[in-house]
Amino acid sequence: MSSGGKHRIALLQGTLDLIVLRTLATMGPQHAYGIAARLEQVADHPFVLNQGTLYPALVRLEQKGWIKGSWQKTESNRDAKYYTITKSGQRALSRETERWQRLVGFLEKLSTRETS
Amino acid sequence: MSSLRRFFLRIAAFFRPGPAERDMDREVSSHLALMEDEFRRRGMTPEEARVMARREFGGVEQAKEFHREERSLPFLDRLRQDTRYTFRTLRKNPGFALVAVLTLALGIGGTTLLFSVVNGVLLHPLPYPDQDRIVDLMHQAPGVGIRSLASGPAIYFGYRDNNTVFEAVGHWHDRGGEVTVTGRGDPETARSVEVTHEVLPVLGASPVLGRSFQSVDDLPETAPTVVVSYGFWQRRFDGAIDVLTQTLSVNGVPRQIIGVLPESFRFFEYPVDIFMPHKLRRSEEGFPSFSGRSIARLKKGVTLEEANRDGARIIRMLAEQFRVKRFGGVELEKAGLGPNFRLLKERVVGDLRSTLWILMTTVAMLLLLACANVSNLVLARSQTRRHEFAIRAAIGAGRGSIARLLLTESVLIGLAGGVVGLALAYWTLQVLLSAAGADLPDIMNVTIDGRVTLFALALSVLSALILSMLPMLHLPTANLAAGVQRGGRSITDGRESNRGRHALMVAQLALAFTLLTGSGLMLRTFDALRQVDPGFREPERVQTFQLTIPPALVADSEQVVRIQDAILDRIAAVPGVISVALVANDDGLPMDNNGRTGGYYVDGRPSTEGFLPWMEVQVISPKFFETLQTPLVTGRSFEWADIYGRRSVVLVSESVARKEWGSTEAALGKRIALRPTGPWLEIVGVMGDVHHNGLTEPAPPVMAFPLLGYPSSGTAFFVVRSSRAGTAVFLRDLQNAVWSLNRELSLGKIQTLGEMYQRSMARTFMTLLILAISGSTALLLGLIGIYGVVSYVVTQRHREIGIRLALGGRYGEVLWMFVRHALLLAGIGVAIGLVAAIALTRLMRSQLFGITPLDPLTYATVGVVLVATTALASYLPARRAATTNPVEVLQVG
Repeated sequence: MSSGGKHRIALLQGTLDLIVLRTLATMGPQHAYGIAARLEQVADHPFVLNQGTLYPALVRLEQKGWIKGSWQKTESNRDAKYYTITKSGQRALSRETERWQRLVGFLEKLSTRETS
Repeated sequence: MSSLRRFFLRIAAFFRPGPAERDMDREVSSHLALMEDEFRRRGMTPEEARVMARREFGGVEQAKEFHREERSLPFLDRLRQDTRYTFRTLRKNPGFALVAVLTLALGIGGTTLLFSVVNGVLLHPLPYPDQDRIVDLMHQAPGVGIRSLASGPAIYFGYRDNNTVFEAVGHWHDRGGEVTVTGRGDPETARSVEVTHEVLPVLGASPVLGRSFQSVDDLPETAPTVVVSYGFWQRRFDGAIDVLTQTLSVNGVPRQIIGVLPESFRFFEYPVDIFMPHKLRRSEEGFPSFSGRSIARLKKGVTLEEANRDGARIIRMLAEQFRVKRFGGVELEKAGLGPNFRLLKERVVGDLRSTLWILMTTVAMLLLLACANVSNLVLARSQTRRHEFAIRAAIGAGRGSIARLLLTESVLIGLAGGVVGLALAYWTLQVLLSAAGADLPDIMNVTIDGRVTLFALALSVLSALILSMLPMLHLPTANLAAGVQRGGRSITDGRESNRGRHALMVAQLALAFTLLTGSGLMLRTFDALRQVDPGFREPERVQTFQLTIPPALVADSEQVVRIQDAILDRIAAVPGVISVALVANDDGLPMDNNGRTGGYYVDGRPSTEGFLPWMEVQVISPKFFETLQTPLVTGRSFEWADIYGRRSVVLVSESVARKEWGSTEAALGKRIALRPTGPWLEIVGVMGDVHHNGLTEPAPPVMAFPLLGYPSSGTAFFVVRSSRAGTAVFLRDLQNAVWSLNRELSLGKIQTLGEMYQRSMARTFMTLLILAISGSTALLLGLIGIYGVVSYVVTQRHREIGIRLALGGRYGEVLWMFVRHALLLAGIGVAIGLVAAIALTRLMRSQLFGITPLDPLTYATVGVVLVATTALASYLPARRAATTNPVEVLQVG
């Protein structure tokens, strides 16, 4: 494993979890590819994401009991594992979002004060 | 909460990776398939779509690896990988694995075994609560050479009523010894003790049923009571609750049962079943008189010194009260009579402590030796694996991962060694315990318990660390990249690696020398003991047992003797009995660690004031010495007419006769007496000396009286010579012979004289056994070590040898080169071992008999054996080197 991969994961951890939860909360049940496609769609600039890097986040969230996966058929009649956000996932999402907003607000205040 | 849940899931995923792995594979391929569908929809060919999907997805294996890391516990996963790898490599090299595990198992097993003994004997010596506060109230009188005096009733009263340091003081006496219990079922002989009411509480015993003794039970006028052991209650009353309403007849005296002690309670090392109140009448007790023992429980925070000071004050007070001015023939002040209180656990453990520590040190050395040997093996192996490590490093393995591999290997070997060692220890313990027999007091429970198991586990981890340390230290100096290039094709190896190996070898030989010297000394001791003539022959064919005729049954002493006479006749009629006799009282047998002495006067010789010569006293029936086959040196032995005719006759032992009258013949017809005024007793015979107090002690002077010629109780030890001795059938015949005369009598303290003889050597034998086992194991390990190192060096210097031979070197020279080297190392090892042995064997002094710790023969023999076996162990591989074909070597090289 290269250290570059590790670095990117570390950077995305936390944010990635939040993004996945948010996606599932707004869009309903999604498979991994669906989540990845949605992320590319939403991103302002081309979001360079190896789709494989989603998996650690999915495992983590599932083990924490925040999302739940189950095998279903897609419209094109393929097997896919669909993830659904759970109740504790919903609670975690609002908790984490609030924390992020506070952090972002703090950073904003800090940067405006420094630039002025 | 959610992170806890995740932690457990990760552990679950570690142990059952299968389902999650399959689920992941399925999910990833479905993901790729969905992407391919999408790209095809956008108009790509299937081929392009597959490539594109892979690119968008990123590294598939990498993603799976991330998945695994998140899902499971990566550290454990890697450990599992390393373990699997190590198993594979060890399986490929089973010789190495086997030798390493067995070597370690020997070391760990031995150390664990000894630890279990130390654990049982030194760390938990007594099953009593607060044992650090229980004091054995011993006394001394150094001024007259008396180191150890017990206690006495007057002293007990003095301490009980005047001390400021004890919570409670009690007094006990086992003068009753074995008693005959009747009243329910067959009469039975049981061990009894008399205790004042404080004794059981001091030992922390509270009855499971009924009550313990109270002060009122100690009063002579209170009705007799008894407390019984749990085992006795179960055995004789089947554990019935109504036992408290019953009476028990002890030596013919009915006693009310008032309590049953807990199952775990032990009265010191004695298997006591019957506890009776020790009824003392203060007005009848004198000072100084020593009979029985006192024990006490210290108040919290009081030291032993403070207690001794307080005791000394009370002894002075008693001396004043009883107007005692002299003791042991000198002024009281000079005699120095005073307390010598000791913690009870010190007394019970006694000099076993030094033995055990010596053994423990010995075996710890053995473990070190085993570790040294295995690390030498590991070291040699890691040398040959240099090439492998170099390749691993070249393809990107960090130093850490190679070290991890070495550590895993060491831990695996260590744990395997630990498990096998524990099994070995468990098995050996069974053997040793049966060999040691009654030598270890039975309150000491030597078992492999949780603590011992933990100890063994710690040992294996420790040895694993030691094992992996050496090759790991070695790792940084090994130039990994150079290793690849040379591929092990160096002509000579670096000197620094050989220096470590040589140091190990020297250490091993030094340890082996020390251990072998220890076992050599024990072997010589054992041999010296075997050479000692105990004073009797074929003791294994002499059955002994105790039989008490209770005073309540027969009070008159002549009547007692007539019954004993009749019993002897009945026993003589039992098939297979060659000869039978008895010795009165419960302390007359040789080697029973017991006995009584009496001072004597020689007719026509004035006695020196203050010093009376003494002899051991035996009160015997006819044929006693004939039955033991103690030789009658001159004169005659007793006959029944001496007894019933109350003749004033006596026998003395050979050493007394020589000391007092110059020769055995001269002693015949001479007279001695127990009091200066007589009655005078004529010496009618002289018998051989008997080692009454064990083989290591000199044979004491003995005078033997005929029954009725000296006061004795209704208790006696019977000795029966027969080739059937020791068999259960024979014992039943003996019991039936006794019962045919009186149904109330029963046999007790059944053993053969041979067992007593063996027991007197048991400790020596056990020490010898353990030292011999560890010594020979050490030698074996050392030799394997030498053989291994020389073989290794030979392989390593293969090319050099080839070149030497090609240049005209002689076979003998090459051979000698290796042997000389090994001998040099052996020489250094012996020199170091000699110093260590001289220091360590001094600790063994108390264990030795007939030789000094510096016994030259032992040292010389061990030295020669060590050097000779070293020569042999190095000669074998060296010969292989010397017969190398130089052409072959140089061609391949």
